[in-house]
Amino acid sequence: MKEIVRLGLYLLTVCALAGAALSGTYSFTSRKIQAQKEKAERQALTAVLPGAVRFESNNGYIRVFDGHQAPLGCILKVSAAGYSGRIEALVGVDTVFKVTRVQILSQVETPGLGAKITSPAFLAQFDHQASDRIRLRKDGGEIDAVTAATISSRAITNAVREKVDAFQKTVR
Amino acid sequence: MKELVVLFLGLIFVNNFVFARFLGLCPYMGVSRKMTDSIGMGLAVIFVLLLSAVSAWCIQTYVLLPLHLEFLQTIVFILVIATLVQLVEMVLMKFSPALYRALGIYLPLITTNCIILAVALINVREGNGLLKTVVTTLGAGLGFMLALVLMSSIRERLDTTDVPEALKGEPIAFIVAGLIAIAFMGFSGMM
Amino acid sequence: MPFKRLFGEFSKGLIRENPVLGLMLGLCSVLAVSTEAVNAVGMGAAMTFVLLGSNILVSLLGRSIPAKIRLPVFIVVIASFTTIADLLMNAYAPAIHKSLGIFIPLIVVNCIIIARAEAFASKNTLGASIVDALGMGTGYTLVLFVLASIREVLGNGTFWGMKVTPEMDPILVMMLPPGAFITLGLMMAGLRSVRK
Repeated sequence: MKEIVRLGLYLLTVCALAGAALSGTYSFTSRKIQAQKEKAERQALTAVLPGAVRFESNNGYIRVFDGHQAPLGCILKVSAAGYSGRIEALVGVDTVFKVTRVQILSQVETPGLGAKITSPAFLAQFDHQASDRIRLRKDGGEIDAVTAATISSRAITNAVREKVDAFQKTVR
Repeated sequence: MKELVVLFLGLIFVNNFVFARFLGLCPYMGVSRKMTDSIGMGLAVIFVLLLSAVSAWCIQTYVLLPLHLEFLQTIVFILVIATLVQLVEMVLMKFSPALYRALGIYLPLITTNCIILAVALINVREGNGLLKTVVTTLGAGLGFMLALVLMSSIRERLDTTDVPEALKGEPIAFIVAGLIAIAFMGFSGMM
Repeated sequence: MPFKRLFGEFSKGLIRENPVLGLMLGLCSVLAVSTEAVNAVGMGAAMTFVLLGSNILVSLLGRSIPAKIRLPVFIVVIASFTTIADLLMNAYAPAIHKSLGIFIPLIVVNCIIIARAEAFASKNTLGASIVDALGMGTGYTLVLFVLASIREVLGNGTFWGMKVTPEMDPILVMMLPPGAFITLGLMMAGLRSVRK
């Protein structure tokens, strides 16, 4: 009985020390981590709607205004089921519901294949497109899929189109 | 529902945790010589996977998230896994001494099997609900067992063939794994 | 401690007892992270950090750890250093942290670290344990770096992010799982035949 108590106390002490060390490191780094996260988000937002100065969060989307308080458009958040996991992206739409830019926030697709949906060459195809054109070429649209990565390409393409369409409906 | 079935099948074939995600390799390399051992090991891993993934999910949902202690994920999950493996060891020792002896050293090694911790973490990081967690875990575990069984049957054959000295054992096992991985890539059309 | 002996402890981790190619440990992360040379070095550094911390602490605690709870204590120590590495990388190297993803917390189940704690650090002096950790960590990083370089150059046409093979179409399979398995198998065979 005594041995179990001794062992238990030893383990408890080790865990307590570990917990203290971790909490310390966490509070030391948490502000920097939060700042990095916010910086990345800001950069992502401005990349999607160039010229953006002010952002206003609405329910599910972000209204964007330029330096003269004129509305530039909106930013939508898109989440798609990709080949290996979720693809998170931001879509900028201008005031006539054309896509300005698509920016991938996170994806876990196959490196060298599906991951190429983050390449500027692929994403540039979305610039200035109206939603009825946003489909893979093999599905009748104007977007060329990444070679040998149809599933990833289709996932993000369809998700962008569906989001823009749904957004258009709610705002009209 | 259909989404869950697709997810499940996808995890066994397309996103096989061994051939596509490189998880669970250590026991894969060691145990996979006899088919019966592989099946036993696979089942043990599936069992531990289910218990640990569900426990991890509960701890994340009811303890770590509300208290903003997510950074303790790693340490808490691995301790839970270590405890569960100890329990499984004790249960096996009592109810199936034959299997316990066959698995030998590989049983405690399940703790350090990256697949167990990985599945717990993946489920939690993707924000899966309880049902999706169970489905994902089952898919991952069955895929792992499939990999183990496939490799053991091939290695049984390899042991009797003429392999160049330098390639004998692990190197040829890896190359074979690579070939199987290529074959599995063909499954992606299934999606 | 005589320099020659120390150097021996360090170099064993490089070739003779290379943790990945010789002892066959730490495989999961080696295969998964070796798609780009940058990732390889980042991972190697993180793993060496955890291994160093673990070896130091375990060596210091040494005999005082009750035998029956050896393993849980090792696990707590390694998990703590892993979490510290994770937090530090998230704060100060966010790009690599994002690329390595789930494999940073998976350092805790990297067999190399727990094997060294059990087989070496708990029974040796602080100095030897430090050198052992550095040797093993470097050996691991070396293998990872070579594998990643091969895969990145052949599979992506780049090295450390810079384009290296302008005219050639990259061999895509190198960037995918099969390429990793086969290349690692060949590397193991290569080391074995060199040692003969």
